[in-house]
Amino acid sequence: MTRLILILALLLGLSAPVMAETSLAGHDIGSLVFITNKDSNDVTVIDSKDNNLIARFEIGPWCAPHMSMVSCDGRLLLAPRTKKNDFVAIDLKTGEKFGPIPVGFSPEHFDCSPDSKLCYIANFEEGTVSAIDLTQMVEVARIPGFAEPHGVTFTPNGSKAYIANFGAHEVGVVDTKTHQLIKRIAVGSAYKVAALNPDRYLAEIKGIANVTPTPDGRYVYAADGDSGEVAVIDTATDSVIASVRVGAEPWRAYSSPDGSLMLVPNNGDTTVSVISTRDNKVVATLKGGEGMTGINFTSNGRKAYAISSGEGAVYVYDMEKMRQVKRLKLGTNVVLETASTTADGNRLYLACSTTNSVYVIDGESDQVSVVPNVGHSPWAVAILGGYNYCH
Amino acid sequence: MQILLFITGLFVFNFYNITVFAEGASLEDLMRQLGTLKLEQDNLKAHMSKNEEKMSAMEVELQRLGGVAPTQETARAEEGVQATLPTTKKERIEKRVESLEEMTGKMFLLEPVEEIKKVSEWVCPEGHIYDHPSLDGRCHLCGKPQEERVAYRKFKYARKESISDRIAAMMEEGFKKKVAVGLSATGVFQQLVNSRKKDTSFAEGSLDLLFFHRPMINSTLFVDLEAIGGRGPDFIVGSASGLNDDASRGSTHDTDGVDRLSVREAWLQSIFMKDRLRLVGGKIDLTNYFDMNAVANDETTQFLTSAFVNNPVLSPPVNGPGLAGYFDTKKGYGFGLGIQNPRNSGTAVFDRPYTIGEVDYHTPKFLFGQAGNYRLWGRYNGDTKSRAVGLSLDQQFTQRLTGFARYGITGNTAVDEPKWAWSLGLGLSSPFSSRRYDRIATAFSQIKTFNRTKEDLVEAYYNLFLTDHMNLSLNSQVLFPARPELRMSEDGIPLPRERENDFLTTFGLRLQMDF
Repeated sequence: MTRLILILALLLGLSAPVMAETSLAGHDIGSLVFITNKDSNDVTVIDSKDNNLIARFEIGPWCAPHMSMVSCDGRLLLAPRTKKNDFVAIDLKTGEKFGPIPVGFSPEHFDCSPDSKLCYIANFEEGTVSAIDLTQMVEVARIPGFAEPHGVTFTPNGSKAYIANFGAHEVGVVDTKTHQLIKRIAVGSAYKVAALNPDRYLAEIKGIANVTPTPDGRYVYAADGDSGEVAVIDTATDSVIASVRVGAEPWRAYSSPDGSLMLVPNNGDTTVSVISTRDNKVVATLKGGEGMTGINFTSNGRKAYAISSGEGAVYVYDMEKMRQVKRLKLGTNVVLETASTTADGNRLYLACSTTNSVYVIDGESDQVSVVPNVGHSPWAVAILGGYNYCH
Repeated sequence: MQILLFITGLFVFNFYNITVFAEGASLEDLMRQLGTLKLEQDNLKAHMSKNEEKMSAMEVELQRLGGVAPTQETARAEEGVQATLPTTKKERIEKRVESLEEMTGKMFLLEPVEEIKKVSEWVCPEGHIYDHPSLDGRCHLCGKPQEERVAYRKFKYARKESISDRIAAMMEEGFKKKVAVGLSATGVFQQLVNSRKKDTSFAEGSLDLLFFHRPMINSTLFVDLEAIGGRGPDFIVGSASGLNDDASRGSTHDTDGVDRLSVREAWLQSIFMKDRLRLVGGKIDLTNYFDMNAVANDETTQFLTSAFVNNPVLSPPVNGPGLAGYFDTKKGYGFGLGIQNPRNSGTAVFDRPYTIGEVDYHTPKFLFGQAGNYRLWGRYNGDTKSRAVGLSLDQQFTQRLTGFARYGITGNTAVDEPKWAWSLGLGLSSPFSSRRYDRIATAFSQIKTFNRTKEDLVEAYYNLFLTDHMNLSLNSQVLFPARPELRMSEDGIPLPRERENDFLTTFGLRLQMDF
């Protein structure tokens, strides 16, 4: 009995530093890194000042959260409970949990409006988008008309949201006042090739994963996987003003910090297309890796990092010389997920689902350090004011 | 011991409290959390009791299926079934499975199913999509005319799927992962248009059966079984340039009329040093690793002429046992080294070998700010004592237009090897906006043969993309002058020369399929 009490006491003592915190009051939210762990159903928090784990937020049993993010005002931690078909919000100062708020089937990706009052969640399997009023914590609308809605992107003024359809070759535009799908925009010319080879396109669709805005919100870029084209959409008129041919099976576009370049990883031919947003032309094609899940920038956009999930490696590019300079192999049997860049643009936090760890890459030296045991199957990383995305 | 325990407990308690209160958590917060935990506990209990009910119901059904006497509850359920008593055992079981599904809320067999369907939509030039055409045929957002087209869209349903079907599909998928099989078939028809001879049409076809397997991480086993039948124009023309490279390896159709398969390649490739070093060993084709070119390197999809597939002075041996290594510095430079038995005999493997070395420079931004690849190679054939050096480069001028050049010169006089050879050409992808995956290319080559005659050749092709798996090429070659050189019969007897025209033209069709 004595031994048992001793062991329990020690276990409690060891877990106290991580388990104890249920609020982040007193912390600078902008310096914290939020890791979404699919298999341990939680969000753990790393303080980027010393790379220590400081808190863990339970999202709910058996819910497999796909991603999480902090509302733009830094008040709420938001996370869909993907396997539970609902959504939760946690007040980071008080630790108060709101919800679960029922949404559609299989909520995965979402975005929060710039005023932090509204959140749109793409219900991937249901083909709908749930609109959550974050002031009331209720679902105010469920918007139909999508095919595998994947990424959600609000315009900087919050008046519209662009919904990427992975199960079709189109982008949906939603009016955030009426919560209505007001426009559908065709992307790419897959329909032309599909007419010649219908069997291929009746078996699988690789549509649009995400819509990426320029920093000023004037244009959005949408890559279509099947046609290998990136559509440039004018957000004022919601018209396609240019279509840029890139490599095979482009995943999505990633904007450089100043918005002058859009980098598009092409998983069909393991290249990265660099699009100049000035004239919407491909200015370079870089060698990439297998199964690229994302691209991050550091050093004010002078360096870019392409995450190759299939190779367990990160390709490092010098964007001034437009060439690959390094390939950081992070281990064998390592499956990399997504990364976020800190708000100052100096470091990358990269989730690795097979090792339950997060790799920290220094933007200047490319030195890699590891934060181990962040949770089971870390899937996504989010930093307030950082460069965030999911896959 | 008790004192130690007390101290440890106190330490833990204090640590826990210090951590909590240091971050500003109040007693109210803790009470609220406690309340939440209780609520979750209640939910969990309710959930477990519900599951227990389901489990007990399932156990009863399983007992029934196993021939155990039914309980009172299930006996009542069976009474309903008795009204329509199944005639066969299979039907009885199906009925009971249905009953089981009812009890379990069809949780097990109801699966979301996705289906891609063709849909008609009306789209304006600015990309606005509508399910139905407008009355005036114009987009109500931009006023531009709408066009009807067929698109593909994914729909999702909840359907009942058989578990056995699912298992079979998973097993099939698992088997596919073990060994990947590919098929590549090429058919070429060529017509000599200004020859004085009869029988000036040629047909040739090749079939490659490809097997891939990954026996270890970073290792690939590859086997290529090939069958070739028919002949190209070189059967009567005998050019040094090679008018059909696909037929140059010779027919595997034996004189006894039987089509045979030959093992073209069989090798194991391993990657080391963070993907920098690649080693390949086995029966290899050295032209897969040296004298590469982005525009002119593949007779099945690019130029058909041998002089544009590889430099003629490379004079590689027939595929045989060998080793090839390539080191990529990842800084633009690469180094390759290959060694191969000059005969595919399997004996005296490293006696008088064919050796080749290459230095590469790859840059994503070079001339015109576009990507370029530059290669310099040297080789020595221990069997014929001949040596040669050459270069192969390709440089993008725009994203669609790429140029290439090759040059090679031999350093001695080996019979049947050219003195020197060079070639130059251009390739354009997406020649028309509506034909994104088509390619058009043209090239010129000049070869000085071992008997000091020069041979020039021009080739142009248009590659028409039909589907992801099928391409059709229209091809034309012009050969100056068409002089038969040392043409041999199949028995090795020199055939009499015949003077041809000053130039000779071919037109060809090539169908290429990959699966």
